[in-house]
Amino acid sequence: MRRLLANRLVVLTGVVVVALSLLFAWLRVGAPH
Amino acid sequence: MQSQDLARKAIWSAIYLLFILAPLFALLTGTLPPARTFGTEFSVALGYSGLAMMGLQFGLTARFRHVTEPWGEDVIYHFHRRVSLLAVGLVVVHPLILLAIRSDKLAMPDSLLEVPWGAWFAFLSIGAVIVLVATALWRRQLKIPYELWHLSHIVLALTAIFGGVLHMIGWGFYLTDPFKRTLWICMTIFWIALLLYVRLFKPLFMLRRPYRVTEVRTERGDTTTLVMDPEGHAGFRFKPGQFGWLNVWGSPFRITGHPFSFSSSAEAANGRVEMTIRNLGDFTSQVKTIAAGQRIYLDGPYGAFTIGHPTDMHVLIAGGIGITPMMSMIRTLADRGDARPLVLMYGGKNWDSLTFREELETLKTRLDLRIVYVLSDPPAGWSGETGRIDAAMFRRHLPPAYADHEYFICGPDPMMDAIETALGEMQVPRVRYHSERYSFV
Repeated sequence: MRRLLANRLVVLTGVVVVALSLLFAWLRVGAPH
Repeated sequence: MQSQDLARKAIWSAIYLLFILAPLFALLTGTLPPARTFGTEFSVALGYSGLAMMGLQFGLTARFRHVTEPWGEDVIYHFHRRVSLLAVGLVVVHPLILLAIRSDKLAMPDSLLEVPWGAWFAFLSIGAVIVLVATALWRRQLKIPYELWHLSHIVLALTAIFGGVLHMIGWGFYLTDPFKRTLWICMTIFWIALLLYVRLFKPLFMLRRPYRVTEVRTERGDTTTLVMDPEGHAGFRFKPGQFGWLNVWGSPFRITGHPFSFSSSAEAANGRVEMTIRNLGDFTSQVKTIAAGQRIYLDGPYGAFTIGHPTDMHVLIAGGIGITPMMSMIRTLADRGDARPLVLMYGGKNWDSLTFREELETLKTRLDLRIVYVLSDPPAGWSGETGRIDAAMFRRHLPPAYADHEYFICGPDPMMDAIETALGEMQVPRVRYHSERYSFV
């Protein structure tokens, strides 16, 4: 259960980081063509 | 208390994400070089984020009590391990995306001499993280001694981080801006400072606060108790159930400490602490050779595993040497004259191996304590519980308002998994059971 909690935190971190990396690219060049 | 913990978790999670993402978004400030394709910018963002995550790994293992307390040390260490895979994934995906979109930046030059130095550092960084993760995942299979592995782990992490930062500076796209270059160099200094904190400043602090082993007691079940008194200082206060890192031989700068629960009462006078250690074949096999008078170093206390609300029935479930934090709780509650109802379910191999058996019987006279012994190899004529602790056993021994009790679990991993499953079957909400796994080293 405690490992599950840690795993969920990792997934959450991954989702936030990838989402904001996409936002970074979008802010830089606009939507992908 | 729970909402306070939740707030602390949320704040530290936000700070963690801020340290990963703020330096990335700082790249969007000021004068910007001409934008490249969406794929290129996305891959670059992943690379920067991955590197920041790798740097922050030093913070996760820096034993900051305020950071780890809301979760427990075991959750933080497991997060450290798993998030490293994510960080490596981001760093590796960064060039793969560039390859996939056929970025002209990745065109191979005619000669290796023409490869820019920023690219060499990228190879170095990615190579180091791949070796780092492989040796961490398969250390036992590769038969790498723990101490050597730990040292190589730090060296590889530093190589990966310096390689990554030098790659960014060498590539020179965003970091040609002096402000942004300075920011990322400061970030690197910050990550190294986190490492120095735990490997240099903390040992220096411990060096000034040594302990002396004043008694070595042999206990049931091939187990030894070390009684330790602070030498020239007041020691520290701990909560029953917490643990410390023990460093017996050598200086506190030695890279490997060993985590053990305190088994003594948190109310013991003069900063005295005790650790009770079972011979499990590794470092623990040498504990019985420690002599009274030996100087040792203790780093602690750590951990979120401690007694709960004073009006709740506490169900303490111990397997084998998992009795040690429970013993600290029971001794502390006895010293405090606490009246809360306690049920100890104590699993062990056989009757003779149950550490603290006699003292527990004595403590029953000072507390509202009931003990259920569970043996996997019972003697002839044994009329008590046998086998594994499960939901049926809980139902036989606990008052039926199962969801109102607080459960504390400490023992081998398979036992803890089984108990958590049993409590789930009994509809006990997760917030009512507490555990901390010490197999995180």
